[in-house]
Amino acid sequence: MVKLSSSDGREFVVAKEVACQSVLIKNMLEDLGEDSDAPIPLPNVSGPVLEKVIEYATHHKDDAPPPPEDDSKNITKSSEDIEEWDKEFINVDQGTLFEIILAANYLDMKGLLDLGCKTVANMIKGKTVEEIRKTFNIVNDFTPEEEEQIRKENEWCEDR
Amino acid sequence: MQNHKARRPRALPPELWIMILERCQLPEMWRARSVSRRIYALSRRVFRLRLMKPWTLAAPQPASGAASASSAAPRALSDSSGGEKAASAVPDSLTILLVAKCFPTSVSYNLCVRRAKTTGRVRLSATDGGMTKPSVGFKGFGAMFLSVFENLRHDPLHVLIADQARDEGDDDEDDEDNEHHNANADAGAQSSGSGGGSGGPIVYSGDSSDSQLSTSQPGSLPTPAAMRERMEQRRADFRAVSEFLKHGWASMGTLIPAGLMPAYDTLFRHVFATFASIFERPSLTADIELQVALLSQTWRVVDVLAPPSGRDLRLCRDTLCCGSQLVASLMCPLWRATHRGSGERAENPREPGVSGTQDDANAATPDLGGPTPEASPLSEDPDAERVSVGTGASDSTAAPSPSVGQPASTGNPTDDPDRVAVVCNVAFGKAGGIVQRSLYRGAYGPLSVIRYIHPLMFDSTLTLVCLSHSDLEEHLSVVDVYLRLLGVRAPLRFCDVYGLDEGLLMMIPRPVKAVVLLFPYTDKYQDFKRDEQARIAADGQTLSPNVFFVRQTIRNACGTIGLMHAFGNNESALDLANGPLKRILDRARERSPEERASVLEADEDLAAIHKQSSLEGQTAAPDAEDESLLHFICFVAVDGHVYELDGNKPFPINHGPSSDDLMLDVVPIIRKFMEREPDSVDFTVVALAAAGDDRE
Repeated sequence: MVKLSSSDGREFVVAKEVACQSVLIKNMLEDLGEDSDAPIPLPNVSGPVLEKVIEYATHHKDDAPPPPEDDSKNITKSSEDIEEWDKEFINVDQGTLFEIILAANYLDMKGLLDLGCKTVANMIKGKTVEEIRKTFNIVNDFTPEEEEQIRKENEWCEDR
Repeated sequence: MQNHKARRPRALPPELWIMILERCQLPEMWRARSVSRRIYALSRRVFRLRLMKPWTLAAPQPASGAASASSAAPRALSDSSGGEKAASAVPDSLTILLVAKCFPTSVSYNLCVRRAKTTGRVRLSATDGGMTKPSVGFKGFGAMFLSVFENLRHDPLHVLIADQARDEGDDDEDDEDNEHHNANADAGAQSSGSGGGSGGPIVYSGDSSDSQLSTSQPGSLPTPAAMRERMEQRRADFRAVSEFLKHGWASMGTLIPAGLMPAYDTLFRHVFATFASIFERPSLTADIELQVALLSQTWRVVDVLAPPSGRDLRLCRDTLCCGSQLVASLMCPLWRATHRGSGERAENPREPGVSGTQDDANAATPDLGGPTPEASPLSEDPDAERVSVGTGASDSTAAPSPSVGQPASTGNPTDDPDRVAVVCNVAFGKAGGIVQRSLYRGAYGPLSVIRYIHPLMFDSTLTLVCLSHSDLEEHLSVVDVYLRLLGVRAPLRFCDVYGLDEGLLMMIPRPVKAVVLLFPYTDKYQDFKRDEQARIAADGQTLSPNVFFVRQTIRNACGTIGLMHAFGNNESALDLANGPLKRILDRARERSPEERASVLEADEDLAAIHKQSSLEGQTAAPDAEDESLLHFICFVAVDGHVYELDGNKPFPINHGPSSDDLMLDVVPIIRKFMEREPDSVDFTVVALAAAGDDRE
């Protein structure tokens, strides 16, 4: 078993194979040695988020290991093929979603990161630029001229 | 960027946005770019990451060391929105070194920003293993690209041949500089900077600035098994690229904003390099660049009819903006083999014959029928200097032609028998790096021909021919002369149909009165013919009594018969005076189709005219005993139906109802002919149409 300590001091005890879904933790464990039972501090991950992450890791602990980096050059990373469980799991408010993505990135969990990014990509899908800004609270910082320029560049993908 | 009110988490770092954008489909990704500056900048990296997967960006070449590669991308926005800003901010050229896993050598590309500012284009030069291959940037060539791509994909030459015997010629003047730039509407706002619409012939000139000499790449031949394996691997890459092109690129079409050039460039280079490596043909990069350079001048690919056994890629300048036009042919040995016979006649390039051979059909009229009144003036002596990079010329054109132009020929004797006549009956040899400028007069009127001959590997040649006439009225091909001699007064002429795609067909003057097709008369076709006749005999067909049909009874007369079909069914449109043709047709009408041929054959006037116009062309008449493997047929519309008139068939073939545009009616029929002979390049289509000169 491995002890994980979130940024707000909560401790989680999880099975090693669950914890090792995170490449970060896996590497840490290897560095620390097998017999260390000191909690692993994860200062970038809050308790609720870590809980979610562990939920994900537990569910996916029996998955085949992700293919090595080099093989994943499939250009078409479809945002469609999300498993039912994952879909349910990631159905959270946007703040949490971003936190999960950040945590997955920090913990180096490919599957979860992929899931999070796909989910955001799906949120972008079909939205107008203004809607995207609204959804993600992004301020439009283009000058009018730049905006016009980009509008021209984008003509091919609009009006279809 | 991220608003921190509410429970907004920390902003996602760039790499995560990249991952997100990477997972978007292309339209969304593009749309997302306009959300904010940051995402715009990121999307550029996504573009790279997404499409450049097998690539890594390496440090810039120390030699030019102007700026780092990565600075090219973020710069683009300011580049497009404010040219001056870019001018001061960035050095004149950037060098990007790309290292591809799938490509054996690293390739570096030099983007000349100065050029982009003055011409609206980006000039690129690729350095590939010590060889510098400069090229001009491009503007909108999605369609062309796909054409090239499709062409190459079906081209077994590049897959089968691993012989790297000759790779010379890359070191001299493959640096083409298109001086004449069209102020075309397509050019859009970004490119209106330079010299607008002078409409002159294009001139390829050496550019001393980047003439880095290079050494020929030593060719090493892998074992066949290893070759095959590598081919398979690369074909897989190819398919991946293909998928992208089909889905992403096709929809982009020609909308390539100048500001995005660096990003697109990276993409193109990647794909080109992939082509080159797939086909085991490094110099292919240069070839395509050449084509790209052309396209950058709003040239379009107009003909991708090439069958797998050879290639004949013709590019044609948009005649709307210029009186000149360009035809490029990419030749390969296989093609040459099939045309070796015509190579003889190519000795006299200025003279097409009248009937019966493919050369004649090719020669019908060199202009596609869309010349505009503002045809370029011919005397452009300043250009002649620039042309001087030509180190030699195949004398195939220079010698026999009544050339009054400045012959760029400096010798390079053409001991090469492999010359072939191609487009517009201009012959070329495989001398290296020739730019030749010739001026023809005579029956054609003044005709300036500029040829750029680019040697490729495997004895292939890419020849670019630029034709322009100062006086279109005077410009008549031999077939047109033939028409006049026959007494045709109507402003009709024969126009080469260079391809069956829509853009090209639009260049044929309308109305089209008849379409003549020259096609290979093979056993397969004869089988088909038998089946067709049996079917028609069984089912019957509508046959208007007004169809003028002639049975062919002697060999090698199908050209004449084809022309007679074209004339006989359009007599009202020909405005025939009491000339020979009128008399011939009147006499022929009284006879049965079987007897009509003898009328034609016996007619002395016709024979005389035939001879006369042949002399005009000085084409060696084909030997009557020659096995004629090509056959002429004619398509006409009579009483609301399209008829195929083939003197070798007992009756006309009804191809169904006609519309008001015969040309478009015939295209699907011709396509069927082509599909039946997928291995042949011997298809020529000529339209009898309103004279191009007379159009607005």
